[in-house]
Amino acid sequence: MISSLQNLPPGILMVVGSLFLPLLGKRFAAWGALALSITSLLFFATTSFGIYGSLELFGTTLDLVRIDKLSYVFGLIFHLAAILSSIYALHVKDGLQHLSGIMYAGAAIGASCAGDLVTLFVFWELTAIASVFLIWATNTERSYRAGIRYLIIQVTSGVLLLSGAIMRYAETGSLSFGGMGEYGVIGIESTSGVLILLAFGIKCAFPLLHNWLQDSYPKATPTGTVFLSAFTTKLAVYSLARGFAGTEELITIGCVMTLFPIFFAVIENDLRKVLAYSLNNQLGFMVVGIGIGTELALNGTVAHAFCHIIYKALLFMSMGAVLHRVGTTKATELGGLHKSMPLTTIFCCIGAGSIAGFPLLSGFISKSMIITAAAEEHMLAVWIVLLIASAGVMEHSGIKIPFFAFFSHDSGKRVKEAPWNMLVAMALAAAMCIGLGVGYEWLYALLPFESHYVPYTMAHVITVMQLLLFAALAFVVLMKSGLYPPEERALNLDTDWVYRKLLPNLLGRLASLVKFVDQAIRKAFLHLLARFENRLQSAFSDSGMIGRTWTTSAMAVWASLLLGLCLLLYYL
Amino acid sequence: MTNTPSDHAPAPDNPSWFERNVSLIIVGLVVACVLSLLAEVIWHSTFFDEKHPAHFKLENTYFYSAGFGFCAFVAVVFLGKLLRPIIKRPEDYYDQ
Repeated sequence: MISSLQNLPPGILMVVGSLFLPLLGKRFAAWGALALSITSLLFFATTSFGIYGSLELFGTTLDLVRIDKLSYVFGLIFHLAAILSSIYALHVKDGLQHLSGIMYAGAAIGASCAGDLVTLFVFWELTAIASVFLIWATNTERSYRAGIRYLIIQVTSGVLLLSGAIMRYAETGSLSFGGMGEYGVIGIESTSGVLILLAFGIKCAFPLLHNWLQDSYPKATPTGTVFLSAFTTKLAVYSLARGFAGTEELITIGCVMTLFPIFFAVIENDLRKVLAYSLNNQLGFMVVGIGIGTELALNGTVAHAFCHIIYKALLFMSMGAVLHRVGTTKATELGGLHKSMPLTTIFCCIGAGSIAGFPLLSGFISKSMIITAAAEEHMLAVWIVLLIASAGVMEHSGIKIPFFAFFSHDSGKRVKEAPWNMLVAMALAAAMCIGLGVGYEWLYALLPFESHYVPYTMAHVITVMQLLLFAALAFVVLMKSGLYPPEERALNLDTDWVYRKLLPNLLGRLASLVKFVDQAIRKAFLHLLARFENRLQSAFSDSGMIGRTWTTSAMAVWASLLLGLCLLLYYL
Repeated sequence: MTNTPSDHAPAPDNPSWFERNVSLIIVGLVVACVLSLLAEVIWHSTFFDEKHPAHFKLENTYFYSAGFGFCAFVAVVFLGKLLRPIIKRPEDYYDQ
């Protein structure tokens, strides 16, 4: 029984099972979602490494399942994220949201264990289609439109992936996405490789392709954003590691990704959007690691993805709890919530400390692997960029999120503490952040390569503490001197301006131009027609050339002339 | 779905521990900063040879990390401030 189940993609239980969740009714759908996640994890944990479910299709072999160390870590963390998110969403009565969340998580798990590009494509598209309902579930005009934009961009990514896969099949005769323990299997030497990189790059929110993330995630439901933060982008990180490890161009792309979002995060008012920019910045660290491609760098990328999923989920959970209770996550309307939501405040601070990389918390033991990998390869510029980005993380996620939501000036809002299930999910995530920070050896044992990295050296602890403490000191100095920019109720433009404003405007102008030219042509034609009609009228009138009465002799002359002409032509 | 706050008026209750001890927290932070600098001085002078191998000369400069943290933070905030007037729009910009 178990052996035949191995041939099915991991996560398929969640994908199929999710369809039945709405049948359980409002009360039990949430518990069904949690039960499905846990059952799927138990099956996954008992599956041994290997390639399963080989099919002969299109004259080639498809491997539905390939579980090696890389797939296993991502499959594991996706399951844990699904369980945490399901607990966090236990109070939600909307069966469709549970269906969507669990199917989305299952699809991401299936994709992370796909052995060929076609299976990857199928799950890739399923993550897009299933997850959009988490955005639409907010039930506002804005979320509906954002969902449509999200879906178009995600499906485009899938289409690019399929095009690349077909071209690759034509070039190499294989649809394989790497065997056991193979990394960097695609590369960008061929056009198909570039197409596949572009597909992964859209989902990984590469610079200029990134804005779907900041556009859509803050518009999802409080629980939906927690689901969304875990899967799509980290599936892209997994795929990049599998397909493009050691591709040097990714180092530059990753560096840009770590830097540009931090400036947007400083001035963003919506704290869930700040977290979306922060997510983008964290992905940059992982992309740099993939680009460097050494064993330490790839280990660092995988470890960072693992830790990041948990602390980012924790931060989105704390902001979701604020949204659930207060009704907004705008910094201008928050402040002083530590009085009424003390537990949420503590959990948020643990998440903030983790992402900033304080010792004994999870970010410390993962981010430093990537920074050290850059140093070991003597990449001074990359190393400096990552240090600046680390100070930037401290600014927007380490300080801004907890400070403006829970401390800062008291907004006077007095609300209830978050519901019990949200608190349990946050407590579990916070415990994991601390557990990973202290018991890092457990995570290091799961990494694709044997790890000799030691995070807790005195030099490392001192340098990180100096960096973070002095960044905090800079915040205090800027706040006290009034130089820190105040939060403002405003919207900040990003690349989505191109397709939400510029292109519609240009299209609008083009449409006006076409309308103008069309009208001018019609007018000129009607004018010509009217003149022709006038001519005809005058020609056929009583006094006109054709309409007037001709004399019999004139007709006889014309008839003999025509006959003469015919005779002439006949003889010629 | 959302619970409206029961009270929108400014807090009538007593200030919290955090609000009463902001100065103390700042002093604590400054002390922690100084301690982190002292720790480096002691570490350098006592175990310099055993310090983990530096990859760049910068790593052997005293307090580079502290300087980096402070300067990078200030630079990020100021660049963000410069960016704001360029990209700031009304909240309903896309609804118009």
